[in-house]
Amino acid sequence: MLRPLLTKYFFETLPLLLACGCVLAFFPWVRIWTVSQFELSGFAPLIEQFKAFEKFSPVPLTQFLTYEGIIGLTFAEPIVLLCVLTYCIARGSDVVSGELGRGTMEMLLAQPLSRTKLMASHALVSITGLAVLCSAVWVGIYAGINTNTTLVKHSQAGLTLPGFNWTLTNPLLSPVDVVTPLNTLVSSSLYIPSTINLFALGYFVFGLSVLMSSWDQYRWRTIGLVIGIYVANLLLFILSKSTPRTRFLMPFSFFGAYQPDWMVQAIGQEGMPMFALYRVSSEPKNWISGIELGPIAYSAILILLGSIAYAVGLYLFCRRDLPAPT
Amino acid sequence: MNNVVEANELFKTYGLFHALNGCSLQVRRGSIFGLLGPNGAGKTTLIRSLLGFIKPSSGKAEILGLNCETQSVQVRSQVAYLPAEAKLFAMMRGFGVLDFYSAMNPSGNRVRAAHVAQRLDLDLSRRVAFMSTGMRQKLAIACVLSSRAPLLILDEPTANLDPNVRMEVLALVRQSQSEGATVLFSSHVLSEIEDVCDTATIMQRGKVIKTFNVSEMRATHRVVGVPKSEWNQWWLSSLNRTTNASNDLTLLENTESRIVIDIIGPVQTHLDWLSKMPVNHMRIEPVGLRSVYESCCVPS
Repeated sequence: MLRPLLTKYFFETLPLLLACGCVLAFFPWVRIWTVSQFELSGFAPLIEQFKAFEKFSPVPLTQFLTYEGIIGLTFAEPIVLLCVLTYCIARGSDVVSGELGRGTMEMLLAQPLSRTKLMASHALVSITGLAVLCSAVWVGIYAGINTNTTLVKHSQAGLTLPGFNWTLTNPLLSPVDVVTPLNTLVSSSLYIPSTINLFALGYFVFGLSVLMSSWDQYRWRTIGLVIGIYVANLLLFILSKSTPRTRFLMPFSFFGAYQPDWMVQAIGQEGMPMFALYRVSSEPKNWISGIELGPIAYSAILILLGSIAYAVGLYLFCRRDLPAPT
Repeated sequence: MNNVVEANELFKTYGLFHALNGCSLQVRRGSIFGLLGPNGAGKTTLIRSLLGFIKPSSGKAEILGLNCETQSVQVRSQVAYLPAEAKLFAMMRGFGVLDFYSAMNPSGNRVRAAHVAQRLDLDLSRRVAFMSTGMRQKLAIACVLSSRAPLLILDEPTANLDPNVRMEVLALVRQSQSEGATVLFSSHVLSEIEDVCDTATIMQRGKVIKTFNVSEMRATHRVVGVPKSEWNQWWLSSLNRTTNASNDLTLLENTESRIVIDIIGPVQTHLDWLSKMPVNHMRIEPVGLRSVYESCCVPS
């Protein structure tokens, strides 16, 4: 009996999924291609100009002078976040208030279908779609890294001593640009934790949207509320980064757990294991002193929050009176 | 179990407003049960309580012995429900909607649904978004009336339909009954209730105020006239003389200017008695549902 319902949700999701999926798969490739056209060290003076804003960045700005760092910035690109969030808010808001608003809930729930099964079917399709979108981002990055080359300056070899296999460089010769495949400089697997973190952010926003949708009757209001909460959290996050005195606000914003750039740096530069839950740190950077959360911990926090929001939404929907269609 | 639907003292309050105010009713198995009442009387609230869409503030309702509040999924597997102004998935085509609802309900039948749609002259290849209101209603009717569920709940099924389709829908309702289904039929169209229902109930302000057998109502005639001076004396003496007949007589109104008497049963058995009645301008007419409805539903 759930098969037709899953099919219905799949076809409702498909246009948005295809549109966002295409953008999310293509955009990282284009972005990496663009990045590969430049010698990043040339941006050092520019980065220096933004030193005052470094406190707002999860990583030192010099990270963006590396291919690892600049590719990692893909996850903070507005277009990537916009696509993922649009999908999550659109799907999450639709499950209850969308069906109620269109008046289709009445005949749907007139079938022998529990409200829990209805929500579960919807979640199954929507969360699978979200996983597909996030995978598309990683596939785009993988394709970008493996199909693009960049010019890297190499010192010219001066003289090779016969019998010793030593090469002496000649300081008088200027370095030459050597075409280098990006995959020799950056590993695409480095971005797996960031991709999971993007999925976790989407999952949280989806759970929040379902929560708002489950007690509401109007989808436009649900979408407005979720966007309002999202913007409020963003402002809270920026505020928490602004001064040491407002740092205590960080745990109150879910953006504190969205750290894809930091993950790239911690794994790529600091050698943190990709799926570490935490590490003991002499310099406490996170919420618990002495302990620095690992990449998976951040994603787990978002998934936990999303699951709590979803569970509350399910509880509300199962208990509420359904308004008559208007 | 003789009753398919049993509702006992259902209350549903929204703040100070009582949508249901101690509503009780029983629907006999195999009958077509009409639900009547003015707007806001609580008909749709009652139906939605039976389906578990809203939880009553107090009271209990059962369908086929299943508790409507705690066993609503099992209840809905026994019910095919057509809401008032049914809304369907706009992106689907007509046959997609039939496929969907036939597959969703164990009582659904895709072949029968297509047959009903054909009887209603419905183009199933069109997307719901591009269907007229009447076409959408026909599509919803095809989904519901094709079901083999033991109970059909139809909330204003003929709204937005042309007279020919209305008649076809009523024929389909009768056919469902003849195949063993019980039908709960809510409508504002009195003639439809009169045509198709065996029993009807009138609701007002959240409670049932009158339940009656429609075929008995059809056999009831109303005598209206202007009484002569000896009327009161004649009436009392005539009741004493014809005690058997008096069981079938109800004096509804007795003023100096007008008397109204209802005669239940065959009117020809009372013709002799009627010919001696001391009234002027006597009029004998069948009691229609309108008369019953108007006598019950006094505008507030």
